Amino acid sequence: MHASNSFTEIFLKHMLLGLQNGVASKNMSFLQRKRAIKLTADVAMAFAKDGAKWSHALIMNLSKKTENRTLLRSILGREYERLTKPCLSWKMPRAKKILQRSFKMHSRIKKGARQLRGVNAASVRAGAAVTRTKVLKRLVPGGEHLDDSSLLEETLDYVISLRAQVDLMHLLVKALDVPNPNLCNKGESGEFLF
Amino acid sequence: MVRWLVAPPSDLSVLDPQRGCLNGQQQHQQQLAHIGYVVPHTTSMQSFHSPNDDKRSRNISYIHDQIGDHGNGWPNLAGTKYLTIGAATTGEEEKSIKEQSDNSRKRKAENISHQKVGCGNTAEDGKKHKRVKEDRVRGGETAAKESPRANNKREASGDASKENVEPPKTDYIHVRARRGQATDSHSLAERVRRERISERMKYLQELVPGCNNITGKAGILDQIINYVQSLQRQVEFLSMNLAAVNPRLDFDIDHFFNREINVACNSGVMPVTDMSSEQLDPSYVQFTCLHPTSACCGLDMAMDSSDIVLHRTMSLPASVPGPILDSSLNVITSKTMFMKFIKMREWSKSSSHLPLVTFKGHFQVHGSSSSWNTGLQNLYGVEVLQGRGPAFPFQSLQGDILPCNLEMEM
Repeated sequence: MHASNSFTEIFLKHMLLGLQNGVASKNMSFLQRKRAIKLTADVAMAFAKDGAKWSHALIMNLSKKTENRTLLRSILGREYERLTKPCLSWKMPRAKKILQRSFKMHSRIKKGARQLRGVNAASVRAGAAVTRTKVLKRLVPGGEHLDDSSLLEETLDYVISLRAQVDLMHLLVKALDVPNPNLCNKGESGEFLF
Repeated sequence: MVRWLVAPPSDLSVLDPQRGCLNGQQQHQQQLAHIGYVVPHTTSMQSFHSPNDDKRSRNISYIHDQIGDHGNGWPNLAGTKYLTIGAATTGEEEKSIKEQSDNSRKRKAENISHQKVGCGNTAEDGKKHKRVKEDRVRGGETAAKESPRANNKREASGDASKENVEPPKTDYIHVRARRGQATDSHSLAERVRRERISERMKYLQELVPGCNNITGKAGILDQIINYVQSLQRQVEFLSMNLAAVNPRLDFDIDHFFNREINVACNSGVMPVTDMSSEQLDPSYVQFTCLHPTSACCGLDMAMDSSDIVLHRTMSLPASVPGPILDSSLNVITSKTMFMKFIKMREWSKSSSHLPLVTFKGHFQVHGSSSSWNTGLQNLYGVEVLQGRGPAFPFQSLQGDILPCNLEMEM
């Protein structure tokens, strides 16, 4: 499973745009530069994949800090307003939240009753998966409000795009790195798999 | 009246004892009159014996759900027979009999029949029926051998294609109760949900390298979490690398874009594309021109001197960490990337079809990981000496601790 060509094209284009605007020929400290580069990379990645929930969530998270906003605006251009407006459709409606809360309480009560019977392997296994799901929810942007199956779907998408991002940045580093005449660069070829 | 299926005698032998109890339901079935009223098997027959509307309606389950688009990847249920009773027309019945052995064609029959289901559905949207399609009845001798799962007919894909033809407002998933399991609506819904999750876990298992041999949700989730974390860390590393590479770089976007896009696109189309060196040379030339014009940032000097340091350590004739790397890496590109590359290769080693970046050609690595650590310590030591102390929170440079330090910033 690899990211599509159009995804990487848009990604690269916006990344370079952002780098040009935000980073090049600006007097910044190393850390600031690094943060700016990471920001452009993330925004470009999220923008290139506009159909997924995590992308929207990522842009929203990034736009919450005020110092990022100028850079975001420069990269996103016209889409900035649309993407940073909090979209209610993917946030759970209140009724569902109440239902989920009551369901959790109910299951907690049931678990309390079950504990009298002792711990069995199945419950331990289930508990392990639950804790890990919580960790995964924190990792994937926008994952807190998702249920299990859509969380897995979003992770799938996110992993693919992350991989593409890493590959692309590798390529950038490799291309921008000043070649040292001491080292053999001849005959090197790269295979870039998306 | 519902017409009975003209089934081959071997199947009918299974049907006969159960036909009697079905007759009473024919009137009810008539309204629905659609595919899927397969013979109920023995264990769930009790529910049919008391034909009141509740039980009947419970046996018809439309589970409202939003179907994500997954297109491919439904399990191959080849070899299982599919028997339908109560099809609207004999023509359909015969078609469905003929296509019993072929799984993919069977789905088409379902699709066509589902169109009629769709027509019927709109009339009955008000009622919330539950419709349970019973197991496929196989020839007796094979039924015992097959696991219950193989008998399960998954019709969500049929639904998905049905949606294209006739999109109702809500998506229905037609679920079949498995042999020997409850036909309760809750358990059915749960089973659908569980199967979805397991299907997605399978996809993720393919995607994340190194978890092919791991079974169990927790282990796979573990691997996924590790992989996502390592990818995020790599992004951090790379952004740091990019920041360090050339501080005053003027990105000539058109020039760069055309080349890189051509390279990337061509590589995407033809995975084995050699980036010939002359393609890169002009870009190198361009950036080398800019390099001397850039201000003598202390970082540049640090990087250069650290290069020298690195090469000194690199020339140590130590053995390549064989099991970790299948191909060797170019030294220059890997200042901070080497550790990431090791990680990457560890990841990609286990699954040969998912390498992130593979480099062919002249690459050589020298030095074992311990000498790398000392080399990198020297690297950052030099930088610290250059007076950028507070900028680098690196204290020690083992592969694990380095990302932890970065996480402090994250």
